[in-house]
Amino acid sequence: MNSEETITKASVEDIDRIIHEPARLNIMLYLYVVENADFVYLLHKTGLSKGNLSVHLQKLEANGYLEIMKEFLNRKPHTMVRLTQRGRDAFTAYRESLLNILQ
Amino acid sequence: MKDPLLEQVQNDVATEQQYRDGIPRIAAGFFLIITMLLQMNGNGNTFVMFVPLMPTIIESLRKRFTYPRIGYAKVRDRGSMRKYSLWAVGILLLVGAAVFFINQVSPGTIPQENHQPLLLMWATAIIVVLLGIMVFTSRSNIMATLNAMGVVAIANRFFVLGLHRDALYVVMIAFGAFLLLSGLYSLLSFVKEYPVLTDE
Repeated sequence: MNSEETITKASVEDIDRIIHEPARLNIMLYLYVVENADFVYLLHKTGLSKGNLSVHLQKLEANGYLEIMKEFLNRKPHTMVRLTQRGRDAFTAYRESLLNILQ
Repeated sequence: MKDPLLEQVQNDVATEQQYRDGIPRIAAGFFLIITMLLQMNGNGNTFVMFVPLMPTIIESLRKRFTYPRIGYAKVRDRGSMRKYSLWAVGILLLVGAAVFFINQVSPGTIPQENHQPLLLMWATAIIVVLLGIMVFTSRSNIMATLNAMGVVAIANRFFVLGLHRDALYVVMIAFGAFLLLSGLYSLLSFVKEYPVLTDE
């Protein structure tokens, strides 16, 4: 195994598996380009079901990648979501490692 | 954000959030019609009270039509777009200053009766560009600047031809009606295209 293969293998293993899942990658991408957003925005952009979206959001929150704020607007639940700095850094690092592998 | 893919996604999100529903055009058309009607009836300066109402009108329409369909997202600040819009405001301010200067140097170049309508048109052009900055997408900025240039061009054309100022107001009302109708058409298409989604 030469050094190039070692780097590639190491980079593949370094990939953040929390972000690498397609649904979560989609969520991270659409949150990365905004300051914050609500649950309906993510439903619309990702096309996921409500249950599925909630599960993925909880997983990302548990890893400290995003912050979920729940409130009531006109007696209806309203969920706001935003990427934390850790989430932004993780997404940038994920993007860079993926580009390194593909180049 | 240097990545072209991320910039494209951000532009798409901004366009969808702030332009596609046609609501800023409805508000701008409404504002233009009200302003011109007030001017025709001799209440020219009362249009100022409608300026702070604009964001409220836009926001309440969005709460009713936009956010239940595509959700709410606060778009990240894009310095280059803001810079472009500020240039447009700067140019309009310079045009206004130049006209004022010419009138001071050689009084009578612009007849006295045209001073107030000209000032009103100029203020309207500035407000249209400011609306573009507020809704903040590349397309809306271009639209706002073109609208503002249109307002100034129409006003100048009328004064050069020496037409009655009421004719100018009628053209501006027609322009406002065009904005209002095109905004309403976009809103109807938007409502048809996107079903209402609900929170958890």
